[in-house]
Amino acid sequence: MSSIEEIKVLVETGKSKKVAAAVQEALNDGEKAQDILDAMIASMGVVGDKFSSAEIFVPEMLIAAKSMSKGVEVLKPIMAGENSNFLGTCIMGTVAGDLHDIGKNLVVMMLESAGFDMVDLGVDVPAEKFVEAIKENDNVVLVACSGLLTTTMPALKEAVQTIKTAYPEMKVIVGGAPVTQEYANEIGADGYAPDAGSSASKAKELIGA
Amino acid sequence: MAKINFDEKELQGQGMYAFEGTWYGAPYGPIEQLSPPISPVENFKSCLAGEAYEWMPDCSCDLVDITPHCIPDVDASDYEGGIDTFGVKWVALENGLPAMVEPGKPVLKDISDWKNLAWPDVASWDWEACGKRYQEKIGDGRIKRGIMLSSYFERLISLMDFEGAAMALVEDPEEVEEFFDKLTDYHLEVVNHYKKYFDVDVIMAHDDWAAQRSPFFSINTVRTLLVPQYKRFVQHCHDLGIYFTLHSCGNGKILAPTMIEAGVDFWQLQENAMDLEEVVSLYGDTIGLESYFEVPADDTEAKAFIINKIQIMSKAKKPMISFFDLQESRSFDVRRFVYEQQRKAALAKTN
Repeated sequence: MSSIEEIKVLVETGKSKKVAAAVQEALNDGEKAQDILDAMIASMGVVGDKFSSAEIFVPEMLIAAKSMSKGVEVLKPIMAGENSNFLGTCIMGTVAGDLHDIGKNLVVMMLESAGFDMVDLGVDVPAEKFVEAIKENDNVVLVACSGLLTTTMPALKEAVQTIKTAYPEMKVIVGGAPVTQEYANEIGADGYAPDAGSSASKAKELIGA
Repeated sequence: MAKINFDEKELQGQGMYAFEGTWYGAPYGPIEQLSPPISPVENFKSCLAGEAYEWMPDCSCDLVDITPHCIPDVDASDYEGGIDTFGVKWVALENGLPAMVEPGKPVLKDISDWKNLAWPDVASWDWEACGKRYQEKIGDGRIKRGIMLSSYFERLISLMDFEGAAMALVEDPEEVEEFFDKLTDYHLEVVNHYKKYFDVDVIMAHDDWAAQRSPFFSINTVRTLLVPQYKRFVQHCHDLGIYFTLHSCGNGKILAPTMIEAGVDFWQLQENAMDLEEVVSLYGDTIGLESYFEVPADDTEAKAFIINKIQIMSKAKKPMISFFDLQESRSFDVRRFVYEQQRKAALAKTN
C-alpha cells in the first residue's frame, strides 16, 4: 500500500493517533503536501457517504474528522503561502433562539474536512450577525444555517432572507431535524442537506466546486 | 379478552387526582378521576404482565411520573437550570424549553478522568421527607413511576459534550465501560431509595440513543457498552418487583432489539421520529411500547387522530399511551373520549 493510500485508510477508520506520523512519513518519502491533502479530503467524502447510508454513525464520522485535522496540522506549515485548493470561507451558525450545537458542529467538521475555511458563529445567532460575518471575512462563498427546533424555524427563515437581502448572490445552505427540502425552497435557501454526511457534497455543488 | 363490558357509568367523574411536586419541573396537568370497573393499578399491572386489560393503560391518567426534587438532576434539568447530580451546570433557555447543559464547557475533556468525578452521596438526599409527601398526596390508586434522568449516554453527553461523548465510545471503550459500570452502581442505589421511600412500581430511565432521522451509534456499540449495563440495571429492578421502562427518543428503530436483549419491559418512544405502525409490527410482540401524542387542534381531526393512534397501539401486546391536549376548550370531553376508545380497544382485543 502506498503511503497516501495508508493515510486514506487511517483517516477513514479514524486512527487519529497514527495519522500525523503517516503524513510526515509520506512527506519524507517525497509525496506532495497537496496530494496528501486531496487524498484526505477524498477519504472524508467516503466517510460522509457511509454516514448518509447508515453504514457508519456519528462516533465514526467524528473520529475520521479528528484524524484528518491531525493530518492537516502537519501539512499547514508546509502549505502556508501555497496556492492550495481551499474552497473558500463558509460562515456557519445555529439560528437565533436555538442553543443546539450538535448538528452544527458535525457539519462544521465535515465542511472543514471538505476544504472550506470555516467561521463558526456558534449558537443562538441573530440574522444580522450572519451578514456582519460575511462583511468581516474574506472570500466568503457560502453560509450554512442550522436549526433544531420547530419553534426556531421562523428564525431560520429570517436568517436566510436577511442574508439574501444583503447579499443576493450569496449561497445559503440550511439543515436541522425539522427542516425539509420543501421548507428550504419555501424560505429561499439555495440548498438543503438532510444530514452532516451529505452536507459537504451539497455545499461543494452549490459553489460549483 | 377483557371480561367486563363497557358501562356509561364508568364515565362519571370522581373529582380530580391529587399531585405532588412537579412533572419534569412543570406543573402536572389536571386529570379527572373516572369510574372504571377495576382500579387503574390493577389494570396497569395486567398490561405490564402481558395479560388482558380492561382499557389501554393511559400514562397521563393511570400513572404518576415522579420527578422528586431530592434528586439534584431534577432541578438542574427543569426550566430554571442549576447544578446536577455530578456537578454539571445546566442553563435556562429563553425559548421556554427545559434547561440544557451549558455548551462548550465539558466537565470531562478526557473520559479517563472520570475517576476524579465527585460521586454523589445518594443516601444523603432527602428521600424520606420527599417520599412521605408523595405517599400522602398520591396514595396507591395509580401506578408510581420513578424517573431517572440522564442514564448512560445522556450522562456521558452532560459530562463531555456530545462530540466528546460520541468519540469516547469508539476511541476509549474500556474507559467508558468502567465508567458505565460505576454508573450502574449509582443507578441501583437510586432504585433502592425509590423503592424504599416511594414504593414505585416502575422505573423509567432516560437515555436518548438516536436523532430524529437515525441512531447516534451502531447496534454493535449498544451491544458492547450499553446492553451489559442495562441487563444489570433491569435485573435489579425486577428483583425488587419493579418494571423497567426505557425512554429513548429519536429514530432508534434498528436499536430496539438490544432493548429486548437487555430485558427492558417497555420502550417509551418518540412516535414522530418513526413509522409507528412499522415499530408496532416489528416489536409489538416482544417489548411493551409506550407512545405519547399531541392531539390536533381541530375537534373533528382530534377525534379521528385519537381513534387511529389507539387502533395502531392496540396491535402491540403491551401498549401504553397518553395524549396531550394543548387546546383550552373543545366541543367534546377529551378525557372521556380517550377513555371510551381505550375501553373499546381493550374489549376488541383478542389476546
